[in-house]
Amino acid sequence: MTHPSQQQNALRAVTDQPLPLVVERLDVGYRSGGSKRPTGTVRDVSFQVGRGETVSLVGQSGSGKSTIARAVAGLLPANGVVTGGRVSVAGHEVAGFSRKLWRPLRGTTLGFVPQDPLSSLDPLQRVGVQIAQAVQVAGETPRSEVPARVVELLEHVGIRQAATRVRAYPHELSGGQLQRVLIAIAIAAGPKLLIADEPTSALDVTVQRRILDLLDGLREELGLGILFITHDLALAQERSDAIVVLQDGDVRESGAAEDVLLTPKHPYTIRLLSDSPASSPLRYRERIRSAAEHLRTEQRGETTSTAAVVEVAQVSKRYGRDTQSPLALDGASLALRPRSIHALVGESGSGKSTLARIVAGLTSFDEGAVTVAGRGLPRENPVANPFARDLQLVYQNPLSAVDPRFTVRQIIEEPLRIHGVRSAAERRRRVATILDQVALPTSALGRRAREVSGGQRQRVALARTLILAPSVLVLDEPTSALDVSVQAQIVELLLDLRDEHALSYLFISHDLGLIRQIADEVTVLSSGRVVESGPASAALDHPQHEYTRELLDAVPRFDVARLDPSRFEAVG
Amino acid sequence: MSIRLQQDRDIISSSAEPGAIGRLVARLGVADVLAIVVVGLVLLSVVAPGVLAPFDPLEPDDANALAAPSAAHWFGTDSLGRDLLSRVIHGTGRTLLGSVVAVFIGLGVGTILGLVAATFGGIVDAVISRIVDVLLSIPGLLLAMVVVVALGFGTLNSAIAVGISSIAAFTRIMRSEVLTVKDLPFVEASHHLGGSRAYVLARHIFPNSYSAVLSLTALQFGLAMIWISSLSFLGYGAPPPDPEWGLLVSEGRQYVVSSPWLVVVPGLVIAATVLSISRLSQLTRERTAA
Repeated sequence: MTHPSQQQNALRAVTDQPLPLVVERLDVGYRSGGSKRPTGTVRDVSFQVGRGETVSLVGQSGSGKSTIARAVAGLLPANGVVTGGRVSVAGHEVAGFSRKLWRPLRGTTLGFVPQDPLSSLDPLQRVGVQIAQAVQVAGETPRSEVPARVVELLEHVGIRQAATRVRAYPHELSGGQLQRVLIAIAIAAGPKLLIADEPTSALDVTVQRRILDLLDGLREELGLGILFITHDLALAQERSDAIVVLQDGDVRESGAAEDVLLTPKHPYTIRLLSDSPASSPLRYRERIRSAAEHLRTEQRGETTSTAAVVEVAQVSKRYGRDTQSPLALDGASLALRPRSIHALVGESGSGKSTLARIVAGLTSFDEGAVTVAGRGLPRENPVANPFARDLQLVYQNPLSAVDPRFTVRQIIEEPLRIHGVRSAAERRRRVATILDQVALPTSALGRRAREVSGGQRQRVALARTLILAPSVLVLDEPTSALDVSVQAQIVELLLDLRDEHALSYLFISHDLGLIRQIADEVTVLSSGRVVESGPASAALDHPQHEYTRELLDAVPRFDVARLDPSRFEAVG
Repeated sequence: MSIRLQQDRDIISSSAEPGAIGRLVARLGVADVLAIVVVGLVLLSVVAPGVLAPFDPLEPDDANALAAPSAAHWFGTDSLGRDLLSRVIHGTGRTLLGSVVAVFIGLGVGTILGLVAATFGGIVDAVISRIVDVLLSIPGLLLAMVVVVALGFGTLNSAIAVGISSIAAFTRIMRSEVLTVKDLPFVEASHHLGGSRAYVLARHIFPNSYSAVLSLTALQFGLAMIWISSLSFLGYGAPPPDPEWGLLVSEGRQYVVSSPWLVVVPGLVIAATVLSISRLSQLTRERTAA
């Protein structure tokens, strides 16, 4: 996808005004543990952002993209130092500026849109007051005109009824509206450069699209330069003119967005692209198809196994006693066929997590029936889960779902202890087997969960649930906290495990790209109702319901047709 | 044997030692090292008072009555000529035993009550919490005096009294810790794996909520010592001629003008011990937090 404005932008960049941002051979390091010499985190990074241009910094966690953003904005933590190179923001050489030198530049030359809108506003002050503070920083607006300017700014960022909304407190606004308020604050003093640090990672896809459209509009209208930080390659491709790919603090590849992503040269970029579900939707197609065919031929022999392993029929749920409050689930139904992957899709508040927890026996429900492996689930659950050997839930955040005092061995062993495997030798043997299956090194056994990496933690969580040999796993966004490459490994592991143990997955995710890769069936939830259900290919390629279409349109997508698939084969 | 020398030797020997212990000591401040040394000496006087004490604590020496601190009698002597240093050393065990009993009662009963209140909730929680409120609203020492008067005087009874008056604090902390821990995802996860209520309580909730209570224990230990000494000072505790610390201060009170060391020295010993124990408790808390 080419931005119509791209060529104009290139022209604008040639004008005699200083560029919003020039970074040249930048080195940043952090001092730690009392040592005088800072250890380099970012090395020799150069790029520039022109007027009306968006440049994306792309990379995984630990790649240094946030460090660069902070160095450019003068927001490095106390132990961070720029050790070399130059940073020029709208003509001001700011590398090595003290806080005092920075003060007159804040707001007027550079605005910052933070990652988490919920925690970035003062909860005790009305949003109007907080915007007014930013307006006054510029010092150009007379005191009497500040309120009018605040309303004007809110209207500018697309908040309806701005005149009354200025009196709202942050908790009265939605996540998307809060992000709009933060953008209003960032542009209040007329900056030349906007730094957006994953501005939409906490938002739903449809809201994400509207926020990004807003940023694009402001960029063109005000001639802003935008430095956009993201881990989402599809988003970077869709929204930026140039891309800088970072790995471990080094620039791996940089250039026009088209060139970098459609004809990647560096192996790291190629790997990122092949691991990202959005850019390689067909990655697992052969596997999924052969597994499905394998199943079909098997089922022709024995007709009994076609019965669903999990059946949800007309389940309703309301939180609290108030009968006026909206239903969290309103007559939702789904059927999980054996050995299939059934994806549950929806925005936050759609009830997908509630449904997952009901199936897992963690939340009670008001009406309907849930059957797991042929047995009906009680509406009110006993404290100890009687279905533990049939169905297990894999939590979104593995770190919080395990006892911080336990070692990995104790964590994996726990289900065996609970279910009365008394012999230590027997437990040891089964832990060793399962460890091998989830590809964890034996050396991890003695460590605690916080001492192993994010991907390994999710493997530990999987090992713990699989040691009881359940037939169904409910996976609640199991990869949402992981980098794409790690996510690809975990997804691969999940597919292996399914084939090996004949598992069925109820897979909750907001990542439609990932669902397109692996799901056999999809159920789309909106405000507690099932709006679409059916085979993944049909639901995602020819959505019937308007909501599904809206959801799909909002997802940043690669122009897959123009990608050369043979390029990825070398890596696979 | 001298305290000063002992301290110096401790510092020298531990800092000269290479390896892990040496590095640990290097990170400790002067106050930490002093606290460790004081607690070490206190423990030694509990285990083997005869080794440390230069004289018999009960042996009067008329010729030396009310002698000021000197080379022979470091802490001086009392009205009967008994060596004060020896009396302090021999009294350590009695005073500390009282504190241990008191903390044990407070910790044991308080932990169970807090666990029960937080786990069952509802009316059980309400009843326990209101009782705790009542206990907390009465000054601790006053409550201990009421209890000891009801039980009768004596070392053990004063310890029990102090223990009972510290139950409330332990209950409070334990209850709030359990309330925090029991809603954490890993507790739910363990139930989800099939863990029964009792299993999860014993394996997850209790161990994870106990560390805060344990660090309160060390603090409460010092407090119990002060309270027991206070009770002895007021005459509710150990009967004379037992060399209990509070009683030493109380006995010296009559001679405070002519021989101030009889009050000052045991008082300083109590203060030093309490401060050292609380310093040590802070140290362990920082260690476990890190």
